[in-house]
Amino acid sequence: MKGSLRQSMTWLHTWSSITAGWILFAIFFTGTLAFFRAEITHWMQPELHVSTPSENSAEVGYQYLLNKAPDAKEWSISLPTERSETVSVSWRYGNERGREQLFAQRSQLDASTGEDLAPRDTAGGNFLYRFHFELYAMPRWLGETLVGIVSMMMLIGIVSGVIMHRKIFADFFMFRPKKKLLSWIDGHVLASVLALPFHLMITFSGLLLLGGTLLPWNGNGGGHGGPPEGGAPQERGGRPAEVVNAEPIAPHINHSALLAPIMAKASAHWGVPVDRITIKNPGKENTTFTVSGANRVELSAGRGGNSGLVFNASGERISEDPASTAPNTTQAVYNYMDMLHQARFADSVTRWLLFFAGILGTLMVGTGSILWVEKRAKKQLGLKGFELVRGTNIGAIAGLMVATGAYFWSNRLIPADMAMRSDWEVRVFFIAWLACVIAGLLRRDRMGWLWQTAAAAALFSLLPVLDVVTSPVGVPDALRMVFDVACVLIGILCWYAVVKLKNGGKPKRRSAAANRKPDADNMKPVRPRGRTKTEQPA
Amino acid sequence: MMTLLCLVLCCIGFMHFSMANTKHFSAVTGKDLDDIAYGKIIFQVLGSSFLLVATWPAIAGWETEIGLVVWCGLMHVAAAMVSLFYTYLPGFVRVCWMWLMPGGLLQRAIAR
Repeated sequence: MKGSLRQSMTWLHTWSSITAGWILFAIFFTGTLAFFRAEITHWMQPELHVSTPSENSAEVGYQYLLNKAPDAKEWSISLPTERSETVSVSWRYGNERGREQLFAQRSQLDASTGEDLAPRDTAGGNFLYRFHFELYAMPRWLGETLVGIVSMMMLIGIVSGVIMHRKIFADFFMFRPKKKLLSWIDGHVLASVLALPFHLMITFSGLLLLGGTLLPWNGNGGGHGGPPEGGAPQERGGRPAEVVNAEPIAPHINHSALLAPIMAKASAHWGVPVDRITIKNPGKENTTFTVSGANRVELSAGRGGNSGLVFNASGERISEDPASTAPNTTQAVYNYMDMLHQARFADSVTRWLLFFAGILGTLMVGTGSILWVEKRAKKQLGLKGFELVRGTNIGAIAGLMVATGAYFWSNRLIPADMAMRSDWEVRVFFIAWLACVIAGLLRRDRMGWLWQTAAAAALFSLLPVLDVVTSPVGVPDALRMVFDVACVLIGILCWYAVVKLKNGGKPKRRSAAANRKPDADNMKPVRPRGRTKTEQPA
Repeated sequence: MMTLLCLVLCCIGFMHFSMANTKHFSAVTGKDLDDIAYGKIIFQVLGSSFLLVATWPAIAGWETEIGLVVWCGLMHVAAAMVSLFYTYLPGFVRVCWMWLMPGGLLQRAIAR
């Protein structure tokens, strides 16, 4: 690291990014998909596709709980939203000390009929979500520490990238296609600079969320929103709990007729529909209904930023459950970053905007890794280190797309009742990825890219067909439709890349002008037919 | 509706910003930016103003905290759109600039 500040920053940018580039690409790619993890999970559980939201979804949930857990201490009904087509119900019993159980028992119901749907065992979108911050098959603290380290390298890469770029504003909108190295540089700069605020936010907030793991001595271990040391363990996947000391069944008052007017009042109060009803002491005279909706107006309030309304057993509003507020500025900043990173507040528009910025981030990392190879292709071709990076790039970038496509395919092709099927889905993901990395190392030239991109294109563009064939409902609902259309778009982009790769390998035809002898006005040498040295297969 | 309004304002803002660049300006108009007195500053001020005004529909639709996030996200989209338009639809950019953008209309008025 010698020379001027800009030269030093260039060195830092290059080496901090290339060493972390592959894992950063995986983090960005899976993290971007995780913005839609609920939708992905819905697609990956075809048993839920039969559910159709209806106006009486709340009553459907109430009747189910009335039959299933009449003596529970608390019921909760999550209604269909723009991200869910089913009614999700949960219930808790009181324990020996009269307190409620920590974990609730859950069911997912057909929103029209109330039928208990038993979705297949799958990690769904949660696998992609968890992978992006704790990786896989290693202790959680280790995965989070590794992700923390590469996130820090990413932050260094972003800051040094801004400093090293001499004409960051002059080149702000510049993209020169069909210029080989220049096109890669422009693509990398565009993807980086256009969404620079997002890149800074997502990297910095990611580091904040991993603060508990990276700074374990601060007494707030657990990382990524985990509980403090010695606190309650974080629940994964809604594990049902044992029924402890259930209270004797008492005569039950059916309050289902109150639900519609209560929801109407709350909805009119906020201007947004109710999406959750919590009923305490259901069926008793002291029953209370707490309703909440997507009425958040602040991010700094954190996860409790939605306000609720409380109604009594007569359907009268008795109090307002206000949104929580951050106790101090530090907490408010943390909450803001937490909510932004995880998009917990986001409606459809905001979620798509974050997704778009995430794609730019993924492109930034991917083009950066490719740019490293393109820049050195002439000088270092054949050197071991260079060939390693060149081959691994293919497996890490195109291979990850193949692996993700294979993960979705395995979800529908592995029998629904197979033991440990969710583990097998994840195994398919990693086996496909490993195969692609090996294939990339063996075939490091343009053909390596072409084969793997073609595989990804085929997998993604045929996913809608697989969906229609293997789902119990042929016509996709809105959530599935979005997933399928997104897959087709990814497929089209991959096919476009395949065509470009295929044509890029062919020698250009000589034009009549090129066949003329160079004269004083046209001294540009004509490229010879056939492959150049840099295009030779490794 | 607020989303669309915010996006359009951001696009107009970035269009002015890009035209404050000598290379882009001469590519679109065929003229030299230096020939227009205070052209660079005028376009930058206009661009900044449109970007600032674009916060209004975002905040009106989503309240302040979330609105600013939406505004930022739409700026990313607008910047990408302007950049792709320059590359693949330069004729469209030329027509937009000369007939629809305040900066372009101002430039023509000054030229007269």
